[in-house]
Amino acid sequence: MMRSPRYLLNINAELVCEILVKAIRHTGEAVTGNERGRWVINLSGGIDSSIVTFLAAEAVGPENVRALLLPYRTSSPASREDAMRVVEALGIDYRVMDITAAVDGLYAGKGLDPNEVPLRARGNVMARTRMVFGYEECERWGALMLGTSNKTEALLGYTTIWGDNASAINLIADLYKTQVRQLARSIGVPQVILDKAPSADLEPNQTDESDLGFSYYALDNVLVRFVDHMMLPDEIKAELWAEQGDIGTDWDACVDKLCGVATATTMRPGLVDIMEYKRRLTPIVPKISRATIELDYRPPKQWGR
Amino acid sequence: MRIALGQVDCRLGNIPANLATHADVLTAVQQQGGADLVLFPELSLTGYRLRSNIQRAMLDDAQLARAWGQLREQSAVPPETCCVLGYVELSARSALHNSTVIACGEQARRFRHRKVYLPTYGMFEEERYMRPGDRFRTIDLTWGGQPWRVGILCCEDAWHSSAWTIMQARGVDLVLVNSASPGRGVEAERLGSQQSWYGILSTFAELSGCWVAYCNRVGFEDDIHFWGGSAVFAPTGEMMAQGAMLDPDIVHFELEKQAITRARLMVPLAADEDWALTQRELGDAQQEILKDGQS
Repeated sequence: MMRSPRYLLNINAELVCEILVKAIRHTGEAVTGNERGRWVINLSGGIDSSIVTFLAAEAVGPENVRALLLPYRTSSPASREDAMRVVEALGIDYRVMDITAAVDGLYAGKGLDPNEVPLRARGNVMARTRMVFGYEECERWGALMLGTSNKTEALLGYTTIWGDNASAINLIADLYKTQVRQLARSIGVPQVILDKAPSADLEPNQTDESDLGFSYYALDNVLVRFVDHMMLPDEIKAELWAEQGDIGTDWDACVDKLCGVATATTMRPGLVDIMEYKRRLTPIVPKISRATIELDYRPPKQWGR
Repeated sequence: MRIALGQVDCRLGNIPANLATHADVLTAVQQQGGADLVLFPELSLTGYRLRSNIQRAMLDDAQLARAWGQLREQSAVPPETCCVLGYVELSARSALHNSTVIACGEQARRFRHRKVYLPTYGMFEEERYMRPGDRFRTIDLTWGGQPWRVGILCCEDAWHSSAWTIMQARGVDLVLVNSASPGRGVEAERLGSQQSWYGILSTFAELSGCWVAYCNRVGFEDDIHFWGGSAVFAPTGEMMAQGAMLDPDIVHFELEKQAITRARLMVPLAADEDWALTQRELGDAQQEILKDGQS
């Protein structure tokens, strides 16, 4: 079967929206007994957290959604402006809480000068601090935490473990970044947010795509074939060179990096393989008993619901 | 023959809540003019992905009879209406099966089908918890003074063309297909799972020259959702009725026995079938597989 180049990443945005909105309601009902239960979202002003906020407001009504804007002293003011655009478009409740004192205070508690810690490393502490801020808000407001990670970053481990990937439901984690963009376009996420380059906002001019070394378009085209369509690395290379041609991406290098290299004499795992430890969030448990959690004892999460 | 498809959501392991849902549907069906048969989805009494808690939801024959009795008490189901229910069966030999029963009047188990093909690949893990059935049989029922030969294919069973061949060989008039089909594949207008299912059901209704009634679940279990879209296919392959997508629904349709005859006279596939040849060739192919150890 011939596939048109972009076919694999196309989504029926209307259908996806309907499923995700129902998923939010179902999780609220299963966990708290209330379909219109409250949700807290850490809203960065990027496309992922923006679309999740839009879907939450649709699912449970703006009055049951609270956005936390959690800047650190190095965060870009533009991010906050973008987050406010989402808040205003939806009419949801929000709180701005500067996490600088918490983050720098943590380093002070360890006898360290935060300014001497590289920003990338501080970024992990920021992500985990935002997680704590979010869960604390959930505690007092009687809400659940709504996650905002996408499938691309989950597969590539472009995430802080126990930080930005901590939540009760990771709503868009089965959508690649390019699919998130399609969904955001259809649901009315403000244009400035759609247009800007995705960034973890740790350093000036940092973008995801420069960090990852490839465009999201290239990454997603490799990942969807490798993960969703069970293609082998050599098949992916051949198909992408044939279908996409030379679009400025070294498809061989991209596939090698993500999917690993296996020849008769060498074997090197890819980024997708290595980062599995960030996805399987029950840590490894050495088996002793007759029924080990997750290995043998694998109940559904929502028994009786 | 009047059929109703009870496209319901189920609660995992919560049999009382699921019985109440079934009772509501049966009462509604009655209020909407009644039906000769009401088809519910796969594992409708127990929920689908029970995993390690499966032993907390299984029913032996006595428990099934009690559940059926409860359902009859709770609903306005008349004794002549057949209900097709799905549940986890604990057999007399202490094996678990993904079973479907046709319950009628005093009989909780007028007919039972144990799902033969338990998907255990990708996201599915049925054979990790249950054992396969070992037969595809039919039952003769009478509706509107006419005999109907009825068979059941449970979800994955219907993806095996051999199961349809056996149904056709047995001269089936109506195949009941119950499923808990997870929605996936969102690239196109229709869900990928929906696209595949409708293609299969329409094709095999036409090739078998029989009516096909399909009831699929809705709702969520943890991270998966079921897409609904229950439907009735005529012996020509044409879709005659369709339920809502993603939401609970009840679909009513009246099946005409004569449509089977018309379809089979127009395209006499079953009558032309060379069963001896099929059996011989299958036997030969199997010998080859056994010889080469390719099975």
